[in-house]
Amino acid sequence: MNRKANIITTVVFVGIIFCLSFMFLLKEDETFSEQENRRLQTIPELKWDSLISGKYSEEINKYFADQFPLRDFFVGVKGISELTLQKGENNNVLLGQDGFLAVRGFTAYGGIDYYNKDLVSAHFPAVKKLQETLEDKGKDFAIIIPPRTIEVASSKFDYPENSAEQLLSFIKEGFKDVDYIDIQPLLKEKLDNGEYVYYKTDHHYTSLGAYYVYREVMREFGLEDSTIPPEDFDIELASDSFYGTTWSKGGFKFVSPDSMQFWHYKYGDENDYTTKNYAKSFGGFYDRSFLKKKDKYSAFIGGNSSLTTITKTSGENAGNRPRLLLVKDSFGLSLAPFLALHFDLEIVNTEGTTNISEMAEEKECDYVLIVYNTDNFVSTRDLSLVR
Amino acid sequence: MVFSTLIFLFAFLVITIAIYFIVPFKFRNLVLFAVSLVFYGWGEPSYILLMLFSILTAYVFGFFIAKYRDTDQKKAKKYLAVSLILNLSSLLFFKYANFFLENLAAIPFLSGLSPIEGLRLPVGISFYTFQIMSYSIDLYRKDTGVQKNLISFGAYVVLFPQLIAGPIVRYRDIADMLTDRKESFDKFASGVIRFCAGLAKKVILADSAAAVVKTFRAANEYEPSVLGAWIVVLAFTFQIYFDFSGYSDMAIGLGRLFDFEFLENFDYPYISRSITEFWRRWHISLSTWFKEYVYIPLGGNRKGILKQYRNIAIVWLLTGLWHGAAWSFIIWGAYFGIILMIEKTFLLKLLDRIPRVFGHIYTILLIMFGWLIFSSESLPEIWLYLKMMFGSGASLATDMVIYDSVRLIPMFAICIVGSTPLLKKLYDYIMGKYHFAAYLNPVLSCGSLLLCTAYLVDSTFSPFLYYIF
Repeated sequence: MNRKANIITTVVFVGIIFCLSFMFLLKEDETFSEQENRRLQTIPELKWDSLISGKYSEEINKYFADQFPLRDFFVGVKGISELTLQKGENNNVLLGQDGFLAVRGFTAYGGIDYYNKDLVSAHFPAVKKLQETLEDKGKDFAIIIPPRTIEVASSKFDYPENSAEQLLSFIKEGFKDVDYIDIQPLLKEKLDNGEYVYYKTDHHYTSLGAYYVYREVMREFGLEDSTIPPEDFDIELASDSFYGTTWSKGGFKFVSPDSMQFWHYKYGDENDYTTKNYAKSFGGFYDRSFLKKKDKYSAFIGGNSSLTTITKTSGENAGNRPRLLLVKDSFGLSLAPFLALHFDLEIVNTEGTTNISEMAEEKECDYVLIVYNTDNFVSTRDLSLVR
Repeated sequence: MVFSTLIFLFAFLVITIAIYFIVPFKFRNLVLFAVSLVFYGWGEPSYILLMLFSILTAYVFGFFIAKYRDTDQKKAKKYLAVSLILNLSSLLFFKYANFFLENLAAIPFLSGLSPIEGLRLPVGISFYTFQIMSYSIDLYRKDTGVQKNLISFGAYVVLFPQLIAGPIVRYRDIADMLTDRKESFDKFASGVIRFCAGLAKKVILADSAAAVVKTFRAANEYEPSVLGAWIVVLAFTFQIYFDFSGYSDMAIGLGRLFDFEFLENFDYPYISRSITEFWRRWHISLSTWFKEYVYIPLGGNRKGILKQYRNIAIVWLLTGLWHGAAWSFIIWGAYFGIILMIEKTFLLKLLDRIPRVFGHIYTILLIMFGWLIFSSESLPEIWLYLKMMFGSGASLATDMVIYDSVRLIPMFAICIVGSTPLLKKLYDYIMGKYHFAAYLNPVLSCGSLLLCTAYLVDSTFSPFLYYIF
């Protein structure tokens, strides 16, 4: 029995728990977590009802967890610990070569790579029917299912590929009678050639990736002649410190950040265009206020909004351009600035938008494009409900 | 409240330690009693009344049992019976009422019976009911003296370290500690070391194993594989051991902070060479309880082989039922009861004669099958997994299962080593040989506290991604 060592053990242990609890008390409560992109629990009000029902203690538990001091530090420590255990991943995020991070599995299936085929199969006839309805009305239609990082950057991970391949061919087969643009082979090829088409710390494609997708969309709509070649863009480095959602989730804090580019058409003035969402209206396609925040990806057209419009309000052809209805998830955001050079855009979220054909008519759109990523594709029912 | 939460570590424990060591000794039981009630009622405050009722009845009846046990055995027995009935009835009601109702409803003319809605199990009821019973019975048997101080008795029943997951502490084992404790740095430090070790077992090993069980189970539903099924069972085997023994370590450690010394509850059960030995090493306080208060009173092994088998059967059906109100637990109890009978009849002697390794393999396989039954929600599920484990309707392994198995090898290796006394022996050797090694204790225990804190913080960290918005 070494008394001195025991005193040290006692003092350090008591010191740690007291220090952290004092830090908790002294720390000011935060209402929003940028890292997690969600509201935090603030101190609950003590009421007799909620105390008796146990709701109060539940909220206190949550309050304690949400406002705990040094959260980011502790999250990073856990990430390193999991790597030390050689697990190769943390919180379902894989750590690949060159600092690539990828989410494994599907959100709605608890992170496994399987999904309910019957549920997903219901998407195909619904989309086919939609295309027929739109074509009857003389509108052009196309759909893109942006792949997950793991499907594009598979060469960076030693993760089994067969389930991803099965899913991709399942989608391709299901959409064989639909104007489905399969962008995965192209993006994968570009990435394997060393091109920066997908972010390393985020689940989206980069602006370069979005450019390739834009080119495919133009070809599908028969507009390849007016497609703008890459050399006609000025590329601006909008941020070199973009940490995306996969980084937040994975807790691998040592991974270096992504850089984010804005592509500006050399022979046009972006101020001729007005982007309008529920929050505000601004010239051009970028809401630069987001570049100062963690959620930098939302700089593209100001992030998700129930309705966003991008219109050319001055200059050549203003008020006289073809109109495109973009039904999208967040992958549509960085694609929109390219499309906006050719179309006036009506942009809505896939979630909650079912009657697409009616909407296209109402908004007098000549083109309809659906952009809905693979994880959403297998995890939600939205596409089965479109008409 | 649960030990492995931030609120326990950085609010409850901080406040408890602060108040406990500030007040003079005579108030310390009161402090423990009060904070334990908060601990118990956290999340379900209305059940505090139930707890107070249990304490009060046991206290009052205990008083009368003690009063009459020397002069009027019959009267004492009556008080004992009422006390036990009162105590057991709340356990029966809260834990088993719905199970019985559901099964009775299967009988045609009783089909109108429906389960009682909103009936939630009070935490730790299976544990503290048994503790209270040990007090009443021991009083009657004159194995212990009466506790006249209601606060001290209340503190014993609801003492937060062992309240919700054991060990089941018999009153007589800590009767002296309720009145006389000498807290010290040595005691406190040994408690810290034990607590941190238990916390790491629970948070780092058990919870990781639990995640493996969950994902592999889900994957097996879509693409069954033999390897996948075995991994589920193996991971659950580790999960339940590190979870439960980690919890006991934490309880023992927390007890020591206040100079309570609880008996050991686990003794490396997975190194056993027979199921008989396994049950001497697993959840020792429960086995001891059943042995002392059921098996031996029924006659134990002293009344002939048939009676002995009957007694084993009764004890194991009760043991199964104690673990949960479901048929799978009853089957699980019966499973071990039967194995124990077989071992008693001839197998133990045989196991002694064959090379040790076979005994180990035999035991761990039977334990794993036991956990398969234990962890299954229904009988068809047990059957499904048994078939899967032996290749019926399943491939040998999928790419994904192989990928995950390989990356989990280090974790499983740690779990295997952690299930044996190797680390403990190494630790004792180093501590015995090098004087300065004692200074490793603060580093190791507080390091593991911080690491576990990181895991706990991370588990509450839930990025809201905008896949779906």
